[in-house]
Amino acid sequence: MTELVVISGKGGTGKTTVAGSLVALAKGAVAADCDVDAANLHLILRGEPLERVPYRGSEEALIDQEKCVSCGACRRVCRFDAVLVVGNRYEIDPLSCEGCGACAHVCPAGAIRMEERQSGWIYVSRTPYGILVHGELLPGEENSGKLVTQVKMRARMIAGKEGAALLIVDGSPGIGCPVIASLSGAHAALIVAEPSRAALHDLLRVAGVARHFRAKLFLVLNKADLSPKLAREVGEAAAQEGMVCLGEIPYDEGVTWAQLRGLPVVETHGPAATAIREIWEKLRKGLYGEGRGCG
Amino acid sequence: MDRRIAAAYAEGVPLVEALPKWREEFRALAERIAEAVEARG
Repeated sequence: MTELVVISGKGGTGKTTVAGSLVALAKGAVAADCDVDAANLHLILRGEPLERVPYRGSEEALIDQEKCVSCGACRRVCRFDAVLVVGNRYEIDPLSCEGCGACAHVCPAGAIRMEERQSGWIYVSRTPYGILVHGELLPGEENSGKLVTQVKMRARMIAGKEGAALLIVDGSPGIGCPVIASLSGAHAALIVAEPSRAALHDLLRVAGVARHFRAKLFLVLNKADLSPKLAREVGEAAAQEGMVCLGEIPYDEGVTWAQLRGLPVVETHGPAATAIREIWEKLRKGLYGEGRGCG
Repeated sequence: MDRRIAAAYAEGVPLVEALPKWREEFRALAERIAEAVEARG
């Protein structure tokens, strides 16, 4: 099974738009939405949840009132002001507790224990194009990289069971922890860039991260005609980085039309849809053979 | 939808410079935000 992760150095380049269309074209691929801070691939792919399991990614302190001697050591050591005094009881404010465990460490009575808490959900859904696994962090929760890893593990397991040839992962924007978790173990990374100053800067950063994982690098230039000059610059920079340019997608208001209706762009008939179909054909060949540079 | 906004963003030109007709809208928005923040104290 080949694992392809779709990433972008910055948000707003069209990563999920491209990933959703590739899933629709791939027929039978398993998809994983690892943009867990703002998962939305299931909206484009019209996923019907089959299963939902809690994700426990962090801990919180719990005070056993029977054992508590009300010494206040926990309150003094807490850097997050998470220990409240309610009447004559010490209590933990779960919203403020960061799960560091300092209170449990200093408690002389052994009255505080750390318990796993739910930080999100992992969903398995059926879509018209195959199975989709996605993660969703609860508001204010962290450890998104850990959730990405769990989403990917579940997706790999399903892909193995179903005998899928391809796992398409919609990664996170940026170069942080969830992106690193998205790239880990991937055979290839498709970077979706746009012709802008910010995109050029962020493309080089994310390419550096992807190269570390020895993934084969592909580039798609979205909205390429908005600035032919910057498109050329991005293409040249990508070629220097050893990326295989799969093609350009023109700016097309039909993309917004498709998004508003919750459809993969390739289910419509505009110029962007045509370009993505051509890109998919090149990607299929590129995943297993040699590609050409940009320009 | 206005392609000119996307093209200006690509070149790194602020919207209010590329399309001056938006200047007043954004000035009014900034004032409303400032008022709302002040009202909250």
